[in-house]
Amino acid sequence: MENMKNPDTALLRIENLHAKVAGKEILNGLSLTVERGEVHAIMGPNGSGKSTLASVLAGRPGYEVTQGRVSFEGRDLLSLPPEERARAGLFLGFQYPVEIPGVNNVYLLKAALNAQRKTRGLPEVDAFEFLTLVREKMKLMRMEDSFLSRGVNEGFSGGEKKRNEILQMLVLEPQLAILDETDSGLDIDALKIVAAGVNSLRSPERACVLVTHYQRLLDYIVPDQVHVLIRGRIVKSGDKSLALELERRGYDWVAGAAA
Amino acid sequence: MSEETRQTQAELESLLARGYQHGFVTEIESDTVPPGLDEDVVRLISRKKGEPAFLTEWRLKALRHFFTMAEPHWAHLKIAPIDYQSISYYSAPKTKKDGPKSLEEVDPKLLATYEKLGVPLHERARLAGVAVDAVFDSVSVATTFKEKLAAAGVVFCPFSEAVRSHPELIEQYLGSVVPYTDNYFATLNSAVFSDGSFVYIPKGVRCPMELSTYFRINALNTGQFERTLIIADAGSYVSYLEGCSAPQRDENQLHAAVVELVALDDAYIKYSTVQNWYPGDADGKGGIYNFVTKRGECRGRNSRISWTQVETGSAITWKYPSCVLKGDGSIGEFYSVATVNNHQQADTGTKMIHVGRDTRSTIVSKGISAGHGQNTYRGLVRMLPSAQAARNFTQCDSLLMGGKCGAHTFPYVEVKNETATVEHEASTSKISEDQLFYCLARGIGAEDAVNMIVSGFCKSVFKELPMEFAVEAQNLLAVSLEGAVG
Amino acid sequence: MSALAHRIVEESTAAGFAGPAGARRRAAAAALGSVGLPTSRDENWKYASLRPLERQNFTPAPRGVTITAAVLPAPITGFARYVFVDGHFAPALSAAPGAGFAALAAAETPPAAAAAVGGDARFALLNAAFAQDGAQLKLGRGENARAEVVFVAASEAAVGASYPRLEIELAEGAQLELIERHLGAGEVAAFVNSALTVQLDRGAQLRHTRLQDLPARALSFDTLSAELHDGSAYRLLGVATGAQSARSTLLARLAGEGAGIDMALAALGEAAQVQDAYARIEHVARNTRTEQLFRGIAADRARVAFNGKVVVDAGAAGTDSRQSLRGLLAGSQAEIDVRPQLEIYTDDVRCSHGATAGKLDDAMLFYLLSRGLEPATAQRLLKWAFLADAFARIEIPDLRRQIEARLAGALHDGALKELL
Repeated sequence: MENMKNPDTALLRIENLHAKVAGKEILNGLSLTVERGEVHAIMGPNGSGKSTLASVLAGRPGYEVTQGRVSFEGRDLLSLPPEERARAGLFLGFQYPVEIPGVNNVYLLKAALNAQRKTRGLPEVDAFEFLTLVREKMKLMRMEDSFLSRGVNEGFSGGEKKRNEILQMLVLEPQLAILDETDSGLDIDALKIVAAGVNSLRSPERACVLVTHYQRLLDYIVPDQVHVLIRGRIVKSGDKSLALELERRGYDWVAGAAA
Repeated sequence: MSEETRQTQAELESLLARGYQHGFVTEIESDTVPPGLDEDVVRLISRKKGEPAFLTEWRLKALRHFFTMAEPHWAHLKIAPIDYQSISYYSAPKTKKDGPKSLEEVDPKLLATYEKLGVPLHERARLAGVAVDAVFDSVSVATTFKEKLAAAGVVFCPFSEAVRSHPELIEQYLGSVVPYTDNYFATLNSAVFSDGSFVYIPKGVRCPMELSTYFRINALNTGQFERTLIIADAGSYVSYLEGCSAPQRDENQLHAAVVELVALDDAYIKYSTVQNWYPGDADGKGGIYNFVTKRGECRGRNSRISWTQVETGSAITWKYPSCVLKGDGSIGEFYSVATVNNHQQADTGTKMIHVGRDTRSTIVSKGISAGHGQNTYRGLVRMLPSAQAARNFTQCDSLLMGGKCGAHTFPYVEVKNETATVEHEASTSKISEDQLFYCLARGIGAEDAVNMIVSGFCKSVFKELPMEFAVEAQNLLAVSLEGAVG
Repeated sequence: MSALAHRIVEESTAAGFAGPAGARRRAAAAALGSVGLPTSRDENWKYASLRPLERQNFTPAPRGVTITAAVLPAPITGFARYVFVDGHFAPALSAAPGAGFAALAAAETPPAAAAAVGGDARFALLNAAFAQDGAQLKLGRGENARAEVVFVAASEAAVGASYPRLEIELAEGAQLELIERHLGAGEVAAFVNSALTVQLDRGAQLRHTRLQDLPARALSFDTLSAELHDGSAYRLLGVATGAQSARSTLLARLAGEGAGIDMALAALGEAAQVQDAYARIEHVARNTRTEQLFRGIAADRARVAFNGKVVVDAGAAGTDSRQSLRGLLAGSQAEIDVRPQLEIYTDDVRCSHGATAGKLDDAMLFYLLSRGLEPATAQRLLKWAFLADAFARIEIPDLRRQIEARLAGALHDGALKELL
């Protein structure tokens, strides 16, 4: 099915991706195509390579691609340094966002937004425009104003960190968002807020890849496709019902079928 | 008073009465050199041991250098002046010949001494799977399990024997980690060392059992100057344990040992010490001056040297088991528990010198001070310009019991490579009253509660010790802290 | 007596001061002669650059060297400014003396600061042996003032040395906000040896910002001795960016119950600079507090060192002390040395310290890159953030802007200014 799609229109195309971390092969021939307008969910047990995939796509140092290729809007993604991937419109929502005391949240947001606009040949936003935009998005994420003056993720609770990731995404409006276990550690109210944030960005132009353990998130962000990742490759794909079936039958069911 | 309290009280009293348990003297005829230090004494020691000329010369060079040196005083210690001329530099139990050829020839009184110390030398009554070399005053009196070790190609014998059987290894490695010019006490040791243990683990051999040396100072007015050399050839592994004790005497006795470790490619040496030299009495009278130089060199790639020490004894401890991490990817570790009570003083820690790239070191130090004890952690982490991507982590905690003791932390962090990372954390506080009260509220006696809390505090170090030693170390800790909390 | 110490005594004698001040100088010179200047073998001096002292001329620079007001930084609103050139008071550049300020000529200076003895304070003795002028800031009960004292080094070391000297005394409940600056009139290779004493009576409060921004070929030593009485509070921020080689010595005694010191030091070294600081804080009385923070960045071949020692005496139950020392390496031949030390003689204490040395955090860097920031921008931001803990405590906006601008310069970072 996948290879019948026109390669020129795919937003993200991953072909036979192999990657190592600390000398150990984690991704083992992974292929995946994401079209504009789609939401994909990648599920799988611990250690199956979900977060590795997210990190490799974002260009985290220490992850070595040994085989395969990834194209993003037709460009060779893997040859780009991380900041250029970001400016090209790829956004990684971190599973564990790092705290950066001393670097202001609002400064980071502004620098990131302007870096992206510059790449696209757009003028920098002025302070007033920018603050208006951020406040509007913060409202959506139910974040307090005081948050702006704090250090990046500094002293944030787990839930606040995740909301901050989504806020950044909303401000940067990426073509492709990869959200690495954005749902972990969230209570149900926070989960709804995060989901609302993600849904607000859905459009025929953009796509989203949700990396998650549980199907709970998918009640609020309904995916077009669900993939099961086991031992570094996708062993089964389907629609939302696959997630529900996984919830019922566990990963062993797919693993057994795949073996 | 409830029955339970009475029992605890009784237990406490018996504990308190116990004091230093290894303080007995063995009445045995000794061959002791008269006090004094000069070239003749050094020649005499060398002759008694039938040493080759290169070794006699090496000793003499050390002695000449020693006379040019000044006693170091940078440590945070108050040391009564030591008269190096009043010490006897050699004392050995008298035997008919050169030494016992087998356990049957060992003086029964000596065997009994080690029985009392809980170090049975008879192989049948041995600690399971531990080969023991026992050093009494200046000479090795017995080594067990020689045959089994020989079958694996492992050499484990008294140093003086190795001088005869493996002179080429001695000549190659002696002083190669701690040169005779290294420091005052190491230089003194180089001139007058009498015996100690020698270990060689051949390429690729995993030593089939724990090796252990038990040191005992017995004779009056003697110094003990043993020298240990362990060489782990490529791909080999050895775990080595060292225990110490001394009789209770009013005079201070000098112990100035040197330990050198060499780990070649992929070799791993694990060196554990439980030091329980006589600490002096409650008023600070007597006790061992323990001035020891211990250093390991990770010469080979991915080699590893791990020091674990539990220091409960001695009036004064001055020792810094260190690692020179030359081989790329080599690992150095230092795990230490040091307790001081009454008038004991300890200035101990480590040096991690990172030379090779991707070298790693870990330091965990737990200091416990009670009574009038003064406990100092002194540690150096040095990243040389060649130590690309090297890393160190240090955790250094002190526990204080009572308002008259001291706990001091003197780390040195020196980094000359921008890709290297050093992290040091330390905390000092008194034993937690909340924790104590919690234990008491659960019906645990004060002394037991302290022991429990202290054991918990030291856990990350104890878990590095081989099982038999971990138990012994916990018991020693309990004894050494007796009376620390009223 | 070492040759160097001998020379100091001779030069001091040759400078020939008469009267009580002369006696003070001779006493200081004699004391220094007997202890000598430190060498790198001294534990607390091993990271300092002491070699240049061998060929140092110690005789004070002449009085009356004029400088233009242009070398002085913009004034800070609300602060009275007092300017010293090569250690000599320059009334023309200063505000009219007020609010406790007195410029002291040699003859008026009180006899030898006897406290300035012991191995760590030897450069204070050197100052006492040669200083001609000094300044005193003395506030009476409940008074408060804001003052800026600017020490300008204008003479080459070969011509004469500069001996800034400042004595601060705050009576019960007095409050002083002090800015102390050390800078140069042009790129002079000056020798500056300053001495400060701080006396805080019961409940007095001192906020002190000191900026060492001497020219790139200058050699600087300073000694600050502080004594804190009951409930007094000393908040100190030091920023060292200048000089070829600088050594700062801070000696504080928390002598009164409930006294507290909160000190933050930031040091930046580049090229072949040496920035060395030693702070010894002694807890003498009960319930005293120390908060000590160090942030150092070493670039190029620079050495940045900090040795922070907290001593808790047997009588100082209830002591609370925290040290956070961090060094950042930003050059292939740079060196960071940090020593957090604790010397504790009682059990009722809560003391902790943490020290790190290393490069910028990889995870932080990646996070910023993944948001599209340029690597250079990301590194700059993180360096800035590294120092932020120290600067968070500057409460005077004008001063903060000046310091930040200076640091942006020191980090060779024009772009940084944009975010200030």
